Amino acid sequence: MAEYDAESLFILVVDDNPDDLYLIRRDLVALGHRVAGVCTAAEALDHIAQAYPDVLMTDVGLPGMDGIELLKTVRIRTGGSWIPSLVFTGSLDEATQMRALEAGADAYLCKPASREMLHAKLGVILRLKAMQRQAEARNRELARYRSLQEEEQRLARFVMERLINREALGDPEVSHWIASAAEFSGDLIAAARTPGNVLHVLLADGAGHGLAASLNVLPVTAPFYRMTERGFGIDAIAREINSKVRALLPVDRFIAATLVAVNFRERYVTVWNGGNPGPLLVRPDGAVRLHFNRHHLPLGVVDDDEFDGTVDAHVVNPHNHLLLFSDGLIELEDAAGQALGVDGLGAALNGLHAGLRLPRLTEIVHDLTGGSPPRDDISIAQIALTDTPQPVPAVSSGELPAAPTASDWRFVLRLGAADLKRLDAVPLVLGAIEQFEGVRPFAGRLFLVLSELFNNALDHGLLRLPSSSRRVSRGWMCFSTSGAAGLPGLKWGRWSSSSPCARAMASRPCCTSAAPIPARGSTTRSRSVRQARNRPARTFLRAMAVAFRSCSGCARTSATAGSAIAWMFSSALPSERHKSVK
Amino acid sequence: MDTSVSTQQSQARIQLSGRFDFNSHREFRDAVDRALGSPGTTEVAVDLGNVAYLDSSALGMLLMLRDKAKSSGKTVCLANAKGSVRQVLDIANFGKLFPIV
Repeated sequence: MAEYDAESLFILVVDDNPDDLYLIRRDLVALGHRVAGVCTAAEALDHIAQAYPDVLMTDVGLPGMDGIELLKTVRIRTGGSWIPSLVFTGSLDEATQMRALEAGADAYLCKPASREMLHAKLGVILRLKAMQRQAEARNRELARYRSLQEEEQRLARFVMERLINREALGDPEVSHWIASAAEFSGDLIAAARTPGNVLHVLLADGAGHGLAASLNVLPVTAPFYRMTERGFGIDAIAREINSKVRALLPVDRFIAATLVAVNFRERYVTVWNGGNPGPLLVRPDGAVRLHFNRHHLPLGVVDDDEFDGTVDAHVVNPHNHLLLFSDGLIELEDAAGQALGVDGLGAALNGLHAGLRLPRLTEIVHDLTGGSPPRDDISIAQIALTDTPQPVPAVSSGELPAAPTASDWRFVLRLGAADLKRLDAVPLVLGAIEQFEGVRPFAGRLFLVLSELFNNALDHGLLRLPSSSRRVSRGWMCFSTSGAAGLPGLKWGRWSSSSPCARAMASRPCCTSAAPIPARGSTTRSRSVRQARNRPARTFLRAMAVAFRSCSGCARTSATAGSAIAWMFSSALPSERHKSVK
Repeated sequence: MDTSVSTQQSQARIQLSGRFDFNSHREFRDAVDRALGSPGTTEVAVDLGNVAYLDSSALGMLLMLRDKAKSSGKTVCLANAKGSVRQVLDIANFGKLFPIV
């Protein structure tokens, strides 16, 4: 009884009997409350329109609108707010009590009521009111948290989108679709081209989902774009991201990633896949032609010295497509708990031409999830293996940079066996000479020229590989070299066509000596395939040299017998330099 | 997910059942602490025989266990993985990190 003694309530009492009204008012005032008394429902409504009472007490039998109708009307007029109400009558009639409770009365009282009973009934109402106040306070708190969180998420999403979608995935050969399990996606798709027009695509899936998973995939984008821009191979990129993730994320966080390089010119793809389902090579009729099913550990699980950068390489028909996807897709379950699986995915694609596949997969996801967010993030990327020719800005002689006369630079680089084994030389050199004035616009062509010069010098000058040393078999690129001496202390191993899944997929033959030569990604591969097609290398190189001259300057690459490759770069050919000096 | 830990000679066995996913962090951590804490243990076996589903968070928890075990000189193996659970372990190439028995 004590808990609300201190609280003085403002109570509106409605009773058409002046005696009853007098008695109730007297008792309420004696209990410490303030009272307004009226005789009709209409007066009560007027009163409430002016100010809400803390409690409304009404008799049932009133002239005109009765007490129960009054409660209903008040309820409607006050909208969402609650005015605690107490109904009193002279009758103990159960039907009337029911009507009152149904109309929203919080308590019911029979007249005449003792002061104690009145006090107790008001106590009930006050406890309800206290509970409601508490609930309202909690709701306000929740609403505050919610708006705070929304604001933080808005900021996080903005930053994340800027960081992740730097290139906004605009590559014409890549179509993609991502469905997030939560507001933030832990899946990420990125695409970019190397200076040599090799398309790199990354599909990454951070462990977990939501904001935490989304944070996980942040370390992958910067190395991917930066290294692709400079022409590094996907194996080197995967290695770099692995180190980054390992250094930045806690031990239980990692990133499943698929990296693909598509060399349109030479018609082959290389794949490094860690922790994702292997990509599918799909024929124009939708039939799955090949499943790249070599699985490395996800990125960020092992230290750099344990990292395995072996890539799968495959000569491809340009009419085929490559389909990359995260495990969320094949783990989707139907009502019976049966997962879609790679086989189910293959069956779904069969018969569909490229343009219909993503819409069909979107439909399947929608059907299996019933339209609600999937349990895990789902991402799908489809890559066309034919490059749509892009209009190349014509370079007329008038637009050629004035570098040969404006600047007169020259540098020489010499790489010994140890460096050649360790370094991805072409991107490094390109990075350096790009800094000279007027070179950058030609970075793409320069990359090709440097790659060709370098590879030619390495293969035929240094390693003395005959062009018959390599053949293409069953679609897998295989090397078969024997006794090709060259680099001191190194002997090339043999790539056997009978084990296409093993070494044949590395982008470089494995060395039989203790130190394997690291894969050199696309650079090395482009040479192999070109020669495999037996194009006259000399003509090609001559054309390249001309292209290089028209770029910005000249390079000479030579291999000294069995020990090193020397590069000489200058802003003009020696003969031109001579002329200009004259 | 339900967990139970039993010890037989030098092997502590963590038996898991149900869905091993991002909701299982606390249960799994408790089980790991019990398994690694039991005296005389040199090997922890995680029995996945009754696990119906395993997600990437679960793989992360296994990595965490491997890390903790390594730092106290103990080994970890995964037992009885089958069906889709085995497939998830294979896709992530976890056979390279844990003996899968």
